[in-house]
Amino acid sequence: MNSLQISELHKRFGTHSVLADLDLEVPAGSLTALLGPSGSGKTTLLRLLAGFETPDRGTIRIGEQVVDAAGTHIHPEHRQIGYVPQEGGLFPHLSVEANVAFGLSRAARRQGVGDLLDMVGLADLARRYPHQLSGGQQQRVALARALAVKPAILLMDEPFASLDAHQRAGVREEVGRILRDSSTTTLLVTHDQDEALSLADLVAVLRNGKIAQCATPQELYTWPVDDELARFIGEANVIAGILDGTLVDTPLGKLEAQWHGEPLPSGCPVRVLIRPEQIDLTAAGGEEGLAGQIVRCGYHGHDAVLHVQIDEEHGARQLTVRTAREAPPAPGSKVRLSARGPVLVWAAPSTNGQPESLEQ
Amino acid sequence: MSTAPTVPEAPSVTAHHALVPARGRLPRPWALLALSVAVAVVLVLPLCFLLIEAHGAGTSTILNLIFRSLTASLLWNTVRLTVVVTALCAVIGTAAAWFIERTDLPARRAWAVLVVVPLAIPDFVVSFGWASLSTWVQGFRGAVLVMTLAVYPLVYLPVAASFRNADPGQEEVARSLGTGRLATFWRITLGQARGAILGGCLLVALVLLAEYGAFEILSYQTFTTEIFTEFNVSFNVPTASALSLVLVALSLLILLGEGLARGRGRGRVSRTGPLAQRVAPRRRLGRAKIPVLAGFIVLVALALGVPVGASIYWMLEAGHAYLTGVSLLDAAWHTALYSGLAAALATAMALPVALLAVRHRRRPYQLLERSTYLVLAIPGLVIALAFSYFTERYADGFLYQSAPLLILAYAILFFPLALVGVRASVAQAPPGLEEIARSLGQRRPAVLWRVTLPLIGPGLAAAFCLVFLSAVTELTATLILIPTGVQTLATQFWVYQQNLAYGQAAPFALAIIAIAALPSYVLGRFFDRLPSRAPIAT
Repeated sequence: MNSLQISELHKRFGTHSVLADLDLEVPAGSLTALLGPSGSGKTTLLRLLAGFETPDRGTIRIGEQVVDAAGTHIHPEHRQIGYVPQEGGLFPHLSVEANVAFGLSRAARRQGVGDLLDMVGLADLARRYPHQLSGGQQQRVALARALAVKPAILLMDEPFASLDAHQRAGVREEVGRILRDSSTTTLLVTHDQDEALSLADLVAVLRNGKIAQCATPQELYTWPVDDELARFIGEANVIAGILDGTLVDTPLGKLEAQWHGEPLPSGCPVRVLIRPEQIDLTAAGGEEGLAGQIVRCGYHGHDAVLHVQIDEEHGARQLTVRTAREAPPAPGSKVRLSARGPVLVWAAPSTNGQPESLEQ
Repeated sequence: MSTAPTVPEAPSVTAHHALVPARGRLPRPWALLALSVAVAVVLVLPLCFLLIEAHGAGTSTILNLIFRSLTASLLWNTVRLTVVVTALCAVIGTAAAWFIERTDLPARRAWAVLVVVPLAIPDFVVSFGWASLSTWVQGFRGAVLVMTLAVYPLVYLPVAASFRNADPGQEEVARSLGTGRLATFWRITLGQARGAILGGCLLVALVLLAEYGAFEILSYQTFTTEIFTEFNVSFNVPTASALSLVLVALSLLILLGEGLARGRGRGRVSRTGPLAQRVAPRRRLGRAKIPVLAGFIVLVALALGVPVGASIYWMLEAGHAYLTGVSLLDAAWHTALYSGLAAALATAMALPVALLAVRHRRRPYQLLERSTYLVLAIPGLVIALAFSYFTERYADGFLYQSAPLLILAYAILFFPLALVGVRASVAQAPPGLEEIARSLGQRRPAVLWRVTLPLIGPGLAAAFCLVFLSAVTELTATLILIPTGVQTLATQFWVYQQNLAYGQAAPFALAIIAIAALPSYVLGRFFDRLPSRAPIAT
């Protein structure tokens, strides 16, 4: 098992800077997801780690070995990395067996290949050719091929993006199991938040050429470093509030507050993150909570996501509410909203002293 | 000259775009660039030589030679033939493709092979077959008949491929929008095949401009026959140069015109879904089945039966007395030798250009690749003349009428064909696969041997076959550049045919067809298999 350490990594293409001063540490044996919108440089980072590209500056260390630093560039074939590209990248002229055996010595082939194919559950397809396999099967063969050489670290580039939605969940689960069983340090690139949250031990979010945050999925969801990240990971309502000791005063009630870093003073204007499932609905009529009207309802079976229009006095805007009720209220019905803490707050950017009522 | 099947239909492989690094990822490939530029320079040599020759004759002389009534009558002969034959080929090729790919025509697979076989028969053999049987086949009407039968497969092949790959969804959508059957055919089906039809017509027109042997047999005077006579019989170099300039200009005009027409139709062969490769339902012919079948029988009988039948007839007629076995073997050996070396050279020349264009997607590199297609506009006769005259006059006879010069001329003449095959094969080996091989611990030489070569091998073989096939059936340039004292199958056939020794000529015609048939078969297999070899069908 090997950890991966990246520090102050820079890479530019022409005048376009893709990675700037990027730091990341992937603990040994973990499955870490690298999450970012398309074009954020995820694939570039992966190709730098694999040694297909040379960084402009910075250090990459795999285990104890420095593979990239000033004056050092270890070639891909000497890095002990496993690389699984988006579509699997199987060699089309080789059978499944021969693909898996590609990186092995002759002696290692006989035993190794059978075991690997068993592990990915494709032993009976050993003699097939890549074009005779489904997308999910191709992915598993590619994985077996990469694991065959016992890589120090495994890199996967959007491994599930090219699969159908109904295949994806199954293959994803299967791959997760295989990776955990082999306890290989893995960095998996994805642009799918769901995938990152459900599969990975750690999620690193890539934004503007840097890692914005690297944390466990729960931590990332409940403790995002800023509101942009909060909206990137799941749905988020960000409203204004005033801090009062360890509580925060919001239109949705007085809630227990938490924040990053130094303590914030009482009376400090803050931005409050309230996830849709932290908001409770009650029927209109009571005095408690904030009055609103349902505008839209997205029904998902296990739950429903409601968009609620808030009254004028709090700045006309909509809040997103998730409810597990069997019969969510119909659009048009009047409701009252209240929130449950604890909630995360960030100090609001100073807007010439005027507290905002409710803003996004 | 029999040009090969698929120039405008370079198979596009888009499934693995993710394995091709985006623009700007790679360092500038200086070695590849240098090699490609060197190839491009070699390709423009004939044109430079031609211009030097013309300049040597003096501008005013050349202008006087161009602007006279002979040019006008040659122009009229060439243009009317090109227009009529191209139109006929477009109709026959497209109709044959539609019936074979889109209807329940009986024995479709057999017809699909039979209608293509005429490609392996040199045009001068088709011409010989017809003209030796009937004196009616002469002049304009003879040229129209013979050339149509000889070259319509150049339209059939790309159009059939386009019908096979076209998205049937578009036709269904058109019908659902209330468009009638006939209107759907005109607006959608033919619309989708438009690029392929244009590409096929381009090839037909270029072949017609470059053809010499067939017209000579039919006593039909075009630019090519006149240039040949001026150069080889009257040794009138200024006139030959002047007429060559007009011929090249005409070819360039056609090449550019096709480019413009194609540009307007860009993007018309879109698919609604990338993966749902649904096969279009076949139209039932019903009562039309009998007449359509009759049409196919007539077409194959005329295009294939007559030339092959006539050759066999003349050979039997002459009996065994005239069969000169040794010279046949000798000529076959030289044909295979020259054609094989030319095919190897052309393939090797195409490799750097294709690698540069496919793997380094920068605009200047792609323009460089495009520009090499301009060679299509330079007829073999012009290349041969330029080389022959230049080596004799300016190079002190160095390489004059030598085997290396003939092989180089072939390689230049058929370079675009090699490029089509090599380009397709290079696209089969995305650099991403090489990177994966390296990440699995393989060094560069091992990667080349275990991944790159197996992937591009079949495509290189196809490029080789394409050039080999074309060189075997080449006559015009061979007549001019053939080393003294050597005969190839084509030139020996020509000698006998000109002496009206049909019985002796016939075995050479049949030998050419036999040798050309093998690479044609290999090619057919390669282009059939291509889609399934596209790596990683996702």
